[in-house]
Amino acid sequence: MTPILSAEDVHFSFPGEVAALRGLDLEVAAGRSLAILGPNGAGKSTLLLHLNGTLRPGAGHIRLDGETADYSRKGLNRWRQRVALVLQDADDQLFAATVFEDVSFGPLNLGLGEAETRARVEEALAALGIADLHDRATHMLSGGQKKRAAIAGALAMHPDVLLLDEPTAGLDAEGAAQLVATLRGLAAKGVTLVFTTHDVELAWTLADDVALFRGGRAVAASGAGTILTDRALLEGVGLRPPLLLDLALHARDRGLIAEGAPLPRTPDDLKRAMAGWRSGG
Amino acid sequence: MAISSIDCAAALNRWRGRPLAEKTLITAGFLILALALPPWPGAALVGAVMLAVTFGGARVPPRHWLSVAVLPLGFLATGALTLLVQLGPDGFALAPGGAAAAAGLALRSFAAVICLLFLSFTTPAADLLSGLRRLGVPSEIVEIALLTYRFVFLLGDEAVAMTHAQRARLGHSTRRRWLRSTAMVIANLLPRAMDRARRMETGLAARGWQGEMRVIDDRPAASGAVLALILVAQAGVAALGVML
Repeated sequence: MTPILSAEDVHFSFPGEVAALRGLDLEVAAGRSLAILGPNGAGKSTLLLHLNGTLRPGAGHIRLDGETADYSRKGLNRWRQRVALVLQDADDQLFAATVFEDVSFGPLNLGLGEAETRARVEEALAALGIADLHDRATHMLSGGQKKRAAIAGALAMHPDVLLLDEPTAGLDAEGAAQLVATLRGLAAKGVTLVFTTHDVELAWTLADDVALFRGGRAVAASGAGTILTDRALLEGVGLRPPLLLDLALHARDRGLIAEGAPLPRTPDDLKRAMAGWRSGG
Repeated sequence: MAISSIDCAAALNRWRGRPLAEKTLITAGFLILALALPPWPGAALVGAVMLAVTFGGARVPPRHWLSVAVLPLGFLATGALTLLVQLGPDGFALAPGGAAAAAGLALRSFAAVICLLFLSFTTPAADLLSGLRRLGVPSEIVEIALLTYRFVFLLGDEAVAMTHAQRARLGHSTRRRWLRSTAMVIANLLPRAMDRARRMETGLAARGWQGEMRVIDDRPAASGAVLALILVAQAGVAALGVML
């Protein structure tokens, strides 16, 4: 199947700086959740800005549905309608006075009428669980609420792909857990997710596929279970296997989890599995 | 401090959702009465009515209100005090009729300030700006005002954070260091503001921004009955102020 988004040998440098991307190849499969995993400075955020056309490769190509990206004004509009971006700092994204107004911005830019826009705003706020923040001033929200409002603003455009830069950065444990649950819900509805992170636990909980980044290139890309169990590969980029996965693999080695059974993705999954161990003796 | 306390009250008071036209009519009407009616009992009556509206109607927290009001009211009070004395051939002396003049000026100016504070404490700045847009102020100007307002809070937070970080490293321990550190905060805010503006542009562009910041204005329209009621109340206060 044609990937919905792909990068082919993309090179990019910011003016006056060392290259941020050096020969990057990457494919984003439709309907799946992809973690861009890597240490700080690996080029993860720069890649996201390429995937919605904000930055243009110095060399190489970005393809949308297999076709070379169109950077004309019209082409960019179509592109951004299908591929939405949520910045790391929600304060960079929220500009309007109230949550409702801010979320209405994207749909109006798509040329939708007021009734349709209202419906989309309500739907996006409900999907993020922030319908009660409707009239709240954007600068009076907590960090987690701002993040949700920013994601609602992207979601109201009904994108096929949602790009998220470090989605849980700066959130407390509860805020992060709520957001992860929301994103899992979106993924289950068929939204393609691409998110950057250096948190292996988040990658294991949320991603179907993982692309491992280092020095402006994807050094490995495969299913989450393949990449995140490869200790040598992860340690090569300064990361470690997720604790949850490590424990699950240990349990499988001991015969507590059947070979071939799905490995737990969340602490709750693991707890449910453990409940069975006791009764089994 | 003062801005954020006004801002909080404006966003959280009981009348935050009431139409802008009602609140501006209350403010403007009573402001005119405070200036036009005789200070006693007219301005006093206006002041009393507006305090009742602010605390009883909109339920503005009195402590927030007082912390902001103390500055202008204190300034006006000291200004009025100077009317009590005059400089004559024998030096300072009590001015004839000075007490009445001072009391009149104080009453009138207090009432006027109370009217304006009512509007500030009950109306989010964004509502005022959207009102300007409806009055026909060009949308570019309103958008710049809105973004400026938003950046005031973002940069204010950053300035506070930088100041705390400097204090933690003894950057404010002497007057000299304080001056140096504060200068550094100010110098740092500009590039930070530029960076933030650039990132915000990326975020806006990602949502299809093409130079126009269109959002749905979800504010209720004023009802004629309420506006009429306000006018009747103001006519009542005017009649009382003239007759008593």
